[in-house]
Amino acid sequence: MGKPARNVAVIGIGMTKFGKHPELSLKDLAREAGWAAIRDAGVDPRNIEVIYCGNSVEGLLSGQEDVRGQVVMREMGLAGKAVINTPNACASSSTSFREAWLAVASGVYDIALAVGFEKLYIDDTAKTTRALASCTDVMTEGNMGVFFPGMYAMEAKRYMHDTGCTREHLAKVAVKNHRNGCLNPHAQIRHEVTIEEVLNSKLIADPLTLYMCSPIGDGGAAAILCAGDIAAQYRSDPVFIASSGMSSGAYQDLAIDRPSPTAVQMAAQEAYEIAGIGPEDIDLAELHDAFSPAELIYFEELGFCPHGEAPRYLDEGRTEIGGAMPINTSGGLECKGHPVGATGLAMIHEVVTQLRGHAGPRQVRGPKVGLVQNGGGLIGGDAAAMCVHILKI
Amino acid sequence: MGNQPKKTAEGLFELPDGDLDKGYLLGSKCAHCGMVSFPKRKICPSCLADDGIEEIPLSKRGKLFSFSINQMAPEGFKAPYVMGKVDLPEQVRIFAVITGCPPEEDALSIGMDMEMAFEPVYRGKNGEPLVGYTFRPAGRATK
Repeated sequence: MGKPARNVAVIGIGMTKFGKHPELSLKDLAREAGWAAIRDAGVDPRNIEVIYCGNSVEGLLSGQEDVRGQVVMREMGLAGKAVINTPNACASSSTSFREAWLAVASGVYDIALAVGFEKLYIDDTAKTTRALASCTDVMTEGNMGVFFPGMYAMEAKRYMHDTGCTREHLAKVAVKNHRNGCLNPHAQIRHEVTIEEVLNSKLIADPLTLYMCSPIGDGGAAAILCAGDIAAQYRSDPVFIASSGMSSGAYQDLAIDRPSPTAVQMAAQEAYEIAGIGPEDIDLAELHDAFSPAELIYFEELGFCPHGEAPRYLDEGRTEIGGAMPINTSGGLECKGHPVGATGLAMIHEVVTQLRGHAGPRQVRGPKVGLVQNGGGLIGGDAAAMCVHILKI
Repeated sequence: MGNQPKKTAEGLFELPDGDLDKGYLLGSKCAHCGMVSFPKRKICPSCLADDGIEEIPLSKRGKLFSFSINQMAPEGFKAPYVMGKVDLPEQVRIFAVITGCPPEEDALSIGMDMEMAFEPVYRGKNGEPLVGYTFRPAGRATK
């Protein structure tokens, strides 16, 4: 493993409001997000040379397979470019972002677009749930009764069994993220909740209740990347990509007595190594809280605190917007929403917004370095795809 | 040969004489490092040996690593239903639906003894029941 051949900047970001959008097609979602990023960058779209598109389950929901990126690019007026589709479950558009980074860092391309788009809301929750279950090994998991909230519930139960984490802690994560989501105009869920309301909301899979789970929704998110040495032509406040680490799970379930690092630990190690920094240098992070307990587990795996300590950090308010290590200032997947193919780039959208100092009422004080951790799929008890990106100014 | 029921997938388990009670999971064991895998593999995931991998039957009893009572269900399953992960003595963790107990939190606990069963898990394209492996609390009377 080496260093990127050249520096890469993010000069444009865009996203739709996340939520249930029966009036918007997949093409609408991608166009709105993509063009928002183009306008934000002030780039002539004719100069975009390569496009990476992230989408997860549209093929199973509507039958639009394989060439989804090309289909939406035609709609966006960007036909003719190199288009690469990067399906990788809930990490699809993080993968798009990472590949765009590598393409520009290589020196082959100067300007790249990464866009993620997903339409999960089809008024048939069972069908959407079944489609998401395909983001596993279907032979041993997906067809055998996998239910994603239940998979996280099992991890949460085990985490609570092994540490001092309580149901109240899981609820506190949701309370914090709901409070943050209220401050985010792009968020799907914008109301505050109390610990009691979270604990008394509809039971999904104990210990998970409805308010601890990310909602089904639709959305798009995008970013424009360019070579670092031309970023100043476009804006005075570019954000630079310090690194992007990626892994697939080592699937420890398959070898209990031979423990290996988790997907998060492996991707984080790569990201920290390429960036030449450690967890203590991160000022804020967006974590993959598809379900509340995940925020606590990933917080530890990223090295932000010792194992078993995340609940205490939460109790002490350290992960609040005003705390020492703000987590999910956007409202997280739980409240910003989780249209899976758009999720990674929406997380990047938040960190870039914070590093620019444009986050308004949810602005963290003077952040210089931000981290995004976005996982996708589940195989043998670990993520199938895991991305950790580090952004800096 | 008995009448073989339709399976959820080929290569994961055997049903001698088509008898569900005689069913067992098919794993593989590496002669070089002792790693046991499920499903069976051609390459050892631990030492990457590509020879000396032997097919073995896996134990039918294990300990519950964790479980979830799901109040919603994907297509083909009925809520509430239970799923879990069970650690076999061969150091393999198996994901499966759990049956033979009410879908209630106090019916199960982490670490309890479980036993494997073979029964219809979901229905195929034509509505035919497909047999797969499940777990149930050990020592409970079967249906």
